[in-house]
Amino acid sequence: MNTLEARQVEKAFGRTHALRGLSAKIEPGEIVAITGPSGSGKSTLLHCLSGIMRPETGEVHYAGERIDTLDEAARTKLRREHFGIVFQFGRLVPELTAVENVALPLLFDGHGREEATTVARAWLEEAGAADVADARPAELSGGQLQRVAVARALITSPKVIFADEPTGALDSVAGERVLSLLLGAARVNSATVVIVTHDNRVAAYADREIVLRDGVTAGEVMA
Amino acid sequence: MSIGHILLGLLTERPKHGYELKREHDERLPGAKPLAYGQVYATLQRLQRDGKVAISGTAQESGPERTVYEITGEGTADVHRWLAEIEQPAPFISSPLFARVVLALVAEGSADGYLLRQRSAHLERMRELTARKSSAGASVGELLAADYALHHLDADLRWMETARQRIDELTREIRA
Amino acid sequence: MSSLLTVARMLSHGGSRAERTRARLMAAGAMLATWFLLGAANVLALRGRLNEWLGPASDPGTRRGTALALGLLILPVAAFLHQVSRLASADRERRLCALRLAGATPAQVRLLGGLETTRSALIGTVAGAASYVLLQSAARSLLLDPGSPADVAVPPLLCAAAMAIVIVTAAVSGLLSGRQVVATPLGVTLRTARRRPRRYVRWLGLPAGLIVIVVLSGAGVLPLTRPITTVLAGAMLLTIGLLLSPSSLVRLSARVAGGRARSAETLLAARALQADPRPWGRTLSVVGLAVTIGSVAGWEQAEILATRRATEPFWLSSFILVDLALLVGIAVAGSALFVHHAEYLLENGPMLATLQAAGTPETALRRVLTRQALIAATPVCTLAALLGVLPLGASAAVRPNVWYLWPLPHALLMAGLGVAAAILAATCSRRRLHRSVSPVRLRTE
Repeated sequence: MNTLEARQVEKAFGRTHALRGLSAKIEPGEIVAITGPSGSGKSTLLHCLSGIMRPETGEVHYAGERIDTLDEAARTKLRREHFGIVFQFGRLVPELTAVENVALPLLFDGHGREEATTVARAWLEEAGAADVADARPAELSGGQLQRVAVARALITSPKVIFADEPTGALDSVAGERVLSLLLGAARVNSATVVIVTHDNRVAAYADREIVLRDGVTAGEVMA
Repeated sequence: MSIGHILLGLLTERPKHGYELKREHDERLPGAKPLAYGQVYATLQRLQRDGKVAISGTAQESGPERTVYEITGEGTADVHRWLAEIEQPAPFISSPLFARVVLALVAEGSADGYLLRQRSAHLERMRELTARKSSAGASVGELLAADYALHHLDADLRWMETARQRIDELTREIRA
Repeated sequence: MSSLLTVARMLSHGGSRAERTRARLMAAGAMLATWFLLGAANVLALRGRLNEWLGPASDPGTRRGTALALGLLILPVAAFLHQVSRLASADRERRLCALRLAGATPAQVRLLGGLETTRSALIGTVAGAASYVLLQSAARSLLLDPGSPADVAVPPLLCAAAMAIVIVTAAVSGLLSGRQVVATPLGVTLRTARRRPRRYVRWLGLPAGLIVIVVLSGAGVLPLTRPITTVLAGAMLLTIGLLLSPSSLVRLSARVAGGRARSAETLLAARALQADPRPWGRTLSVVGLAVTIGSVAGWEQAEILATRRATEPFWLSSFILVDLALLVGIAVAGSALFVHHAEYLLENGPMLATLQAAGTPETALRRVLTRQALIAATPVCTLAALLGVLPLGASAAVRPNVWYLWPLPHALLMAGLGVAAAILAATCSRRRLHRSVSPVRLRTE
């Protein structure tokens, strides 16, 4: 079972404590929103859960394995094979076309270029961005950028999708499309989704919300 | 906003009978409080008295015979006058939410618990609305209604978060 | 003016980390330039025959050439400084815009830009001159016997002139560098689109190549009467043309590599180069020049070894000194590439951090940097080396001699050194890469 769990996690940046002994558990297939005011530790929790960062104390478990003790290489491999990650503003490689951006994870995984490109095109089609496949990021609108970023996160069919303010830079309607794309694909693969957001309307797409305040949960609210 | 204006607005399309008006009101303004037939009937009579609608005939479908009303020139002018005006932007704060937060502070010394419970209730309602919005075959009216409600609930939630932070700050100041 | 100086002082205190680094690197570049110029002036000031181990500086006849060679070392330093001036340019432009918004006139902003570079140049030049004089007098007392008639002191007038050249150049380039931003005080930088090189620049290669060939044949190096040398001359023309527009050569190489890339690393590297080949082109033209000179020097060495079979100290130390100078040139140009990497990482940090977060190993990102170096440097250095050995074919056909094989490995070595410098710059950027992809960079700015 691909349960994701943080136990008594603490993380500080210099003198600011981002997380102070936070515990949270996310079941497989769940769609969970992490909300809270700015500076409450939302993004840090996502970084710890996804193995991007290691907490100073506490444990992070994924699929019955403790991942915060793994070394960087092992965590990188885990992220590449099991997780998909979407950030605000897409953060695509500016010099590559949309389809090349989407194909990157497969290329890094050692797949051939033609195969990777074909699969990437299919995913762009799925994301409704087939028409901008050969455009570079600078030529895309915010919504298109984000769809390409989502396609890039989905191409490896991840078990868990992490999204950090995926609609932060978009207007409501464009944001809605990106979210339904992300969540639709997740439901098809019965993937877990963890969304960090400050937008309550985005949080309403989730089955459950984890409210953070000053680095701890303010009470989990079950659906 | 008055029911008279809504009925007049619906009549600008074509003449309609009372039951039709009630049905269209409920369909086009989904989520609004449904209109009672008696209310429709009384309003139509008042509009007729003021010369804004007139009886144009009767219609019989599969039920009883029904009186069909049409809008008059004066009625049309009234609708457009109404649409040219704006809604008074929230002249009074009459939200029970606001009252509860203040009274929770007065009676219990803290609104934290209440705010958290209310947040979860609000979010639950938002989830319902979001699910309805995402379901296949949602009409434009339903989408607009859901968006409307979602934005208002969202505004409530944001106000609640601000309230929590303000109360926190004040408490800290008093303690310090 | 004095209030402007106050503002400049305030700004230099509040600069970002990258900007402080830029100021330091600029000072370092100015110091190097001062050393080379003082060296050249020093050689010019020498009188009489000196110890043969001083190589070309020992003989009055070769002194002018030696001074010129030392002066040429300014070229890689210029490439380095140009790269440094681009470092943290986003920070700098933001600041200049903010100054305009705060009420500074365009002229004032330009002046502030000039003051910044002048300050760094001043520090670098003074440090350079002081250290040169110190080292030189130390070396003099150690190496020369007190009774020697040779006067090897740096003449103060030439010394001051060299320092003035460096400082004025820095001031002018600082004044010019702000010209694209001062137009608008809007918070958003309105950088006038980078102009593509004018069409005629691409044809500069032709006359330049012709001149080189005429000079070479005039020196009797390239007898134009033989058919084979005509072909060689054509090849040389082409090579020189390509080398004079190294940016297009880099772009071409990147396009080919990008089209054939089978791995994500090569694709990323090639596309990044293709999008911005100019810093590579600029730096590699200097590296290419060094490689060409090195290859020609190899040929020259063969010539002398063949005709004189000489291992006299004069020639040996000449060879060593020339190679050393070339090595220094390549090293300085290589550090310009290192600075370019820093700028690339500064600009693309969040993007690279995102790739890393999505499961791209850092080793793969390191390979992106190395492959950029390979894709850009290999064709330029190969062509440059080729250009250097082309005359070999002609003269080897005239006077076959075993020594004429020497320039081949020498040219190969030079090309290898050029590529190695580029790769070394990429390798040195590893720590910076590691910092750029740290999860801290993921935090939404």
